[in-house]
Amino acid sequence: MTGSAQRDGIRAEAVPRIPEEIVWVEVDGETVVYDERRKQVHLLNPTASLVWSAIDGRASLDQIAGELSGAFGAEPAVVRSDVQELVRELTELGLLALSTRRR
Amino acid sequence: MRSAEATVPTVWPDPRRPQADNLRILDGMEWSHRTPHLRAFSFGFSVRASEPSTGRYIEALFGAMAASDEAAHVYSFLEFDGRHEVYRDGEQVSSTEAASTALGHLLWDVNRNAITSARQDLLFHASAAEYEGRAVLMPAPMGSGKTTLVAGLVLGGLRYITDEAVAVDPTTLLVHPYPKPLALRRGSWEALPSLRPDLAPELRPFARSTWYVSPGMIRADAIASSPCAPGFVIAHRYEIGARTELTPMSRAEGLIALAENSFNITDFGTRRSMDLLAAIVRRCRCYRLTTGDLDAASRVVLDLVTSSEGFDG
Repeated sequence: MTGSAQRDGIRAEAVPRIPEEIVWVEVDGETVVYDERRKQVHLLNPTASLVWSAIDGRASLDQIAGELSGAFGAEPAVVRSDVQELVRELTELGLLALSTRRR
Repeated sequence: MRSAEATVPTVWPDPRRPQADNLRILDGMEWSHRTPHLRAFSFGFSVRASEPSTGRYIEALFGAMAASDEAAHVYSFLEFDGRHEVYRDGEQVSSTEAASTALGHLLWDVNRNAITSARQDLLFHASAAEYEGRAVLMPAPMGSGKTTLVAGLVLGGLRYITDEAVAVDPTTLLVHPYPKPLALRRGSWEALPSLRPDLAPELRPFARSTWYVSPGMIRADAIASSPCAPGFVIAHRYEIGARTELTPMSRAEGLIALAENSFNITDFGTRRSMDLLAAIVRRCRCYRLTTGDLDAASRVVLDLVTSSEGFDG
């Protein structure tokens, strides 16, 4: 994880997970996310949907970014930064929760 | 509006009375007209009227809903000394001097009960029309011009499914026809002059504020008679002065448009609802329509739907 990740309070080893009250469905590469608790619906674009689909409650941010950069041949630092920013936004919206993996 | 002294009841129904008593009183009255059995989704009803011309008019409006099965409910449409009273069984639905208001209340009550009777289906606040076996679903909130748009499409050759509530079977994903009378408010009259009801003088008060149009009166084959698969989702919005624009939107956006206009999405549980909505939009092409001219809007939708590329899915 880059230094900026830590500056924003999300550590590279943080593990994002999707809370139980969040229901989603993927349609043509986009993801519709429904927050049952807040009764709000969100639309994730195809790029955000790729990140969302990689969130399994076990993989850390660093692992997700590594997986995506490997799959798409993108610059790892850029992907890490983008994943971190997206996860931060989705966490603020209540669509993701973060936990820290024990070493 | 009273035509015969024989219809004057000696005991009058009263909303303060128990409904069973009112129904008994109404059953004991003479009725000059009774419609056949009718069905709106699973809501079975018939209408009896004290005035023969009113009864025939109501029967014509609901003609597309004729059913062979027994009607569980009966509406009584009473006209007496300048008043109009409507009862569903023994419950008063309307009591007013305005004929158009009483008729509006009757249609509103039928619609409310129809929607309640179809809770096993996914229900959307939408109008819909059918072309070559595919439904064009047009979800929109109240005041968006749903009725005007669907009326324009039916005039243009599509077949009418409904102007108010679309029901989709959650197992087959087929759209069920609900051919209720179209209710065209004054704002739509200029765009649809050919739908002005041609009424006898004694019936004209019924069309004072709203034109009620039986879809079967538009043309003989104007009504979709059997369930059909969804083919399009067109989320539309009316804005005064806006240019008519029809733009593609993603199926995910189409899903959100349906969800936002669902009557009963929570009845199915969120997980299943999302899967059902996704299954519907995967069968559809989805568009967003903004218009300030519902006549122009009808034309662009007709062009889209009837073009050969319209159904390539």
